[in-house]
This record gives sequence, C-alpha cells and structure tokens, in this order.
Amino acid sequence: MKNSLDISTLMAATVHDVKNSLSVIDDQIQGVIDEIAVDSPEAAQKLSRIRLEAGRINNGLVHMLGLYRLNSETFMPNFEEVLVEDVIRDATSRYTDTLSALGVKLSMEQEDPDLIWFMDPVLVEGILANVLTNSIRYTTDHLIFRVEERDGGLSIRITDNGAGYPEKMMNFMGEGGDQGDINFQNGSTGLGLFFCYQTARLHKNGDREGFIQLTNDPETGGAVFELWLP
Amino acid sequence: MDLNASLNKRFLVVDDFANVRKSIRSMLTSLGVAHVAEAANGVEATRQVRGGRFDVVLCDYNLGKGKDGSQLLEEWRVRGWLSHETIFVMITAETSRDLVMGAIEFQPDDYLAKPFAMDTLKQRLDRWLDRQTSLFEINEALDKDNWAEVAKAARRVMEEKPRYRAWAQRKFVSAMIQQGQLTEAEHFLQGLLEKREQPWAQMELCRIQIQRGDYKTAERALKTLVLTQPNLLDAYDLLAQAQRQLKQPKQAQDTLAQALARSPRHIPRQRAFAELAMDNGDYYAATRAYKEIVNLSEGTMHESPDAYKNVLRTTRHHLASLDDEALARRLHRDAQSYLKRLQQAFSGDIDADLFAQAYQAYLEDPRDTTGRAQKALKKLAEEAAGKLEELSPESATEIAEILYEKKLSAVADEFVDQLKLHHKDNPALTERLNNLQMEPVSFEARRQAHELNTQGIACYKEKQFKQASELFKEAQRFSPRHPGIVLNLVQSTLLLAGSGDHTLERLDFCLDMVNRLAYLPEDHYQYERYQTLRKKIVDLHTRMSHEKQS
Repeated sequence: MKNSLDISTLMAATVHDVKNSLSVIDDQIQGVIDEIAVDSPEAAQKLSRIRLEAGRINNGLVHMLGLYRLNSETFMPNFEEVLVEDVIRDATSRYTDTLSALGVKLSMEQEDPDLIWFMDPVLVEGILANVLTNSIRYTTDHLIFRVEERDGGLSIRITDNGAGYPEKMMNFMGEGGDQGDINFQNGSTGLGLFFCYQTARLHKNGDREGFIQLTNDPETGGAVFELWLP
Repeated sequence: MDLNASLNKRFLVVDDFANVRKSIRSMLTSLGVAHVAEAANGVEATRQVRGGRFDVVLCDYNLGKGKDGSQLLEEWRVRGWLSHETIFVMITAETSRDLVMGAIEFQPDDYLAKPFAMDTLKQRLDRWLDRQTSLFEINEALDKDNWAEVAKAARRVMEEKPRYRAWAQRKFVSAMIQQGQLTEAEHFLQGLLEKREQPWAQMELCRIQIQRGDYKTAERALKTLVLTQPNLLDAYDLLAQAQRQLKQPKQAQDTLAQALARSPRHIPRQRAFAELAMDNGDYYAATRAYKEIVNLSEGTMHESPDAYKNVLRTTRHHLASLDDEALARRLHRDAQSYLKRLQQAFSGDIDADLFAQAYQAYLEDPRDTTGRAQKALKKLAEEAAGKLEELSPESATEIAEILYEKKLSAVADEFVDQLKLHHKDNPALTERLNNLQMEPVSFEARRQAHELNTQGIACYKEKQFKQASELFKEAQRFSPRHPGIVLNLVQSTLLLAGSGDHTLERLDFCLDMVNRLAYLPEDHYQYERYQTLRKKIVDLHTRMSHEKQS
C-alpha cells in the first residue's frame, strides 16, 4: 500500500475513536454513580473524580483535534451572532453532575441576559469547558461566571475561590516573541492554554483580536480566567 | 422548565435504534413531556410528520439504511410537510458534528451532540419552547409564504426580543428580497455591515447585486468572500451564477467544483455543475456528477429517471469525443449498467422505456454486423412516433440524435418532422429540432466545429484568407451542413479564387458547397447571405466557363 495518507490525518482519526470510547466509558461511570449514589455516597464521589479526569482527557483530545484542524487547510471557524448565555450553559451543562457530586456551587452574574455576541460558539464552548475542568479541580467550593461588555468587547470571566494561579502559569504566554510557547517540562496545562489562546485569537473585528488572560483575584486570591472577544 | 408548558407539547424522536429512542423518551417523560412519538426510519418519520403537527422533532443524523436526517429535513421543508413552527433538532455524534454542520444546506433549528446529559436536554428543552413561542408569528407567516407579514413580524422580534435578533435579521432580509424591495434590503444590510463585518450580510448584498444585473460588482465581492469564508456554500452558488452571466462558464464550473469538494451531497448543485461541465465540453466531469446524482438520489425525493438518462446522455457525448479505446470500452460497460438500472427502476414509465430502447441500440456492440441495432432503431422510431404524447421533448430529441448518429438520416428526418408537427406550439423545441436537422452531429463535433469556425473568423478579419479557408474547411468536416460554416468557407474561398491558381476548380468547389444549403428555410437568418453568395458564384462561374471556352 502506498503511504499516501499523512500521519497527522491518521492520528486525528485515532483520536476520534479514542474520544468516542471515552464518552462511552463516561456514560457508564455515570450509570454506576446513579446506582450507588444513595448507598455509598463516598464511592460515588470517587467516581465523580474519575469522571472529571475523563473530562480532562476528553479536553486533551479536543485540543489535539483542534490543532489538527487549525493546521489543515479546510478548517475555518463559523462565526455567528449567538446568545452568550446559551454558550456558557452549553459548556457548563455537561458538568452539572460532577459539580453537584463534588459540592461545587456554580453561579452566573450577567447584567443583560439577552446579550448576543459574534463568535464561533463551538470553539468558545471548547475554551470554557477546558477552563471548567481545571477550575473544578482547584476551587474550594465556588465558581462564578461573570459576563459583561468591556472595552467594546465581550468579557467572560471565570473566578474560583481556590488558591489562585501559580506565578509561572500567569506568564504562560511569556513576553513578546515567546508568545504561545508551551512548557511541556513542568507538566502544566500548557497545551490547553495554548489552544485557548489560539482560539481566542481567531476572533477578530477590524484590527482587534480576542485574547485570554490569567490573574488572581486581589481580594480572595482565587484564580480568574478571562476570555475577551472583540 | 415550566411543567405546564411542556405537558401539551408533542415530540417526535427519530432514531434507528430502539434503545436510543427509549432512553430519549424516558428523559423527555421525566422532564414532563407527555406526548412522545417514535419513528425508526425515514419512511415512518415522514408518515408521522405528514399525519400530525409536532412541536419538536429530535432526529438522529445517521438513520442507517435509507435517508439520513438532513435528507429528511430537506424533503420535509421543500415539500412543505414540516411547519416552520416545529423545532427540528439534529442529533449527531459529537465528533462528526462539524462534518454534518458544515455540509448540509437545510440547517436545523438546533444541534444536539450525543451522548447528552439529562441537564443538557432540560436546558435545551427550555430554549426550544421559548424559541417556538417567541418566533411564532414569523414562523406562522413563513408557513403561509406571506412575506409582507414575515418582514413585519421579523422587525418586531428584532426590536423586542434581542436574543433572536440575528435570526430575525436574516428572515427580514429574505422577506424583503422576496418582495422585490431590494433598495430597502440593501440599506438594512449596509447598516449592519457598518457595525461589523458579517459574511452572511455581505453575501446577501451580492445576491441583491446579481438580481439587479450588476454581475461584475457581485463577482468581485464574492470572490473575496469565498476566499475568507470557504464554508459559506451559498456564496459559491451566487459566484457561479455571476460568472455564468459574465460568460465565464469555465470559471463558474471551477467555482461549483470548490463548493462540491466541501459538500458533495447537494443534488441541485451537482446538477448545476454537470450542466456547466457539459456546456464546457468536460464530459468526464459531467458524467461523474450525474453518476453522483444517481447515487445520492436513490430513495430520496430526487430519484427520477432523469438522473439515469443524464448519465447515459453525457456518456454518449463523452464517447464521441474519445479516441482512447480502452477508456471507451469502460465507459460503454458503465453506461450499460446504468441503462439496466434505469430499465429496472422505471419499468412502467413509457418515456423512460423508449429512451432506454434507443440507448440499448446505441450501446449495441459495434462489432455486431447483423444490423440488429439499426433494425431496433427503425422499429423504435415507429413506436416512438405513435407515443408522442407520453414522450418528453428531451427524450425525443435524444432518440432523434441517436438515429442521426447511427446514420439513419431518412428515418431521423421523418421522426423529427413528426415531432415538429406535434410540438408546433413549442418554439424553443422547434428551433432545437431545426438545428438538429441542419447539424445532425454529435455535441462534441459541434463544439469543435464552432471552435474552428471562431478561429477562422479571426483569421479572416486579419485578411489571412488562406488560413481562414483551411480552418473553415476543417470545421466543415466536423459539421457538414451548418449554414454559417459553409458560407464562411465559401466566402473565404471566393476571395482566394480572385487571387490564385485553379480558379475554376475553386469555383466548382464553392458551387458544390452552397448547393448543400438548398434545404435552408427562407426565414433563416443566413438565408439572404446564402442567396447573395450563391448568385455571385453562379455569375462568376458562368462568366469564367465562357472565358475558358473562348
């Protein structure tokens, strides 16, 4: 057989398969959780942690597919005007079970529930889901989504009440030319952030483009992830 | 969710797996939905949708054998079986979502990636019902094709329900275009674009420019648009339309090819592509597209004998243009299998049957010397002449062409005369049949003849009469009876006659040529030219014969 298929396409196809298997596993774990939740809540909570890790694996796979698509010529984001609340709810709804099992409260602060914005909803949902899996792990017991218009753009902030981002992570993008470098050595979430950063940048309006920013809340010290779209 | 709201809503779940239907049903039931109908396949789903009104249809994209979810949606929308008030939700595997989303023309109201959690379904349910209520007036007007009312209701939604603004804007624009209020639609779109670049709004502006006949402006804008937004499939269709109007059929074909590479399952676009390819003499591409249509339309609303007939028709033209024997044999074999499928699938259809008989004879083994094909065709011409009522003009023309191609000119002429009589109220067909009688050669030969003729005219204008007359002679070889070509050849030869040797031989040749046009009807646009040239040749000929004798 001629080796005409390029290796990245083969890998992408494999990732698709793994991802499908993973969602079957995830489904089955949830089934078990439902069965044992009443009789052994502790075991159920352990399983919820496993589900969270499954979610992280899933995000990793999504990133790999995303990078594959970013590098393939056929990929083009589909921008449309969408209700911001819908996109956030789509991202959070798959974590409802996990959040309640782990006792994490999720709240939303939005002045205008009818706010609509121009974006690729699937990509943005991916960013938010990625941040959520991390925040759920590091928060103490509370996550807040804040949605507002800022600097003529849309700002979505996710604040937790954990110990905040370590210094190293907040500089993940480095300075100037180092932007987007991933540090695989420290085993951090570099790839996830890199993906979020690239995805945010695809959103453009005139000469402004989207970005992400990591800070710590000056009052509570909790981690603040911000996605800004023009 | 408001339990009371969902209690009276009617849901339809379409999935080929019983356990999936059961699981979705139990989720819906636990969310308070009382009426849940199920369908395991397209046929069942269609029966249910036609039989009663649903508020929400949850349809899996992949339904196993038969139609898929998007084909169902297309058929229901085109045939008006699905009310616009019904929310159609396409369920897809998460990983194939992009694939499905990008590739279908009739967009569902929402997508749901499976597997989905109860909470996701609950949220979506709220969303769908809110949407249904909020957009009720627009959808009601859409069901009635009442565009004035659509525009009015859309304007209200834009002002009062900002979360549906984007959707309402699109409906507003199409309502304005439908009503021919182009200027108003244009102003509205420009207002939107001043605030932000939006590909759909740019595309709609181009649609308006095309309707106004401003093809050049539209073409320029659309070219940029498909570069920056390669997934905006409608933009390719518009661009091809503009290019066609600008007499750039080759570019139009390329444009549609790009759209088809992204979304090959779109039958109307495949058809438009095939027609362009045919006009461009790209029989290979045309045949392939028609085959694709046959395969895509199997079991859908698009299935008809036309798809098969087109494969056969383009193959015939392809065969005429080939000198590669191996390829020709393969095409032959292929065509035979499509012929067989046509005969099997539409055995009761008189038109398809006559058409098939013609192709059966046409595809008869050329080494067969018993004249079976000729006999069959003669019989067919007789039979077809007796069934002109059932025979479509297209099939009739095909039969006539095959008769000419198989050198049964007398039979063909008689058949064509009968056709012309039968369809005397159809001027377009009459003209086509007249042309066929004048130039009963294959499409490909005709194309080559016309190309050579055009080159000859160019040389003639440059006063290169010798070259011109050679080109016309070559063109005439492909199309011996075409009046324009014959007269061009005569005219250029006459000019040479004045300047060179063998003058009398040349005149003899000219006389012979013009005599071929004896059949030309008096109202033909070349008739006067024919008469003038003929007279000139006859005069010259008489004079020169006298000179030679004296």
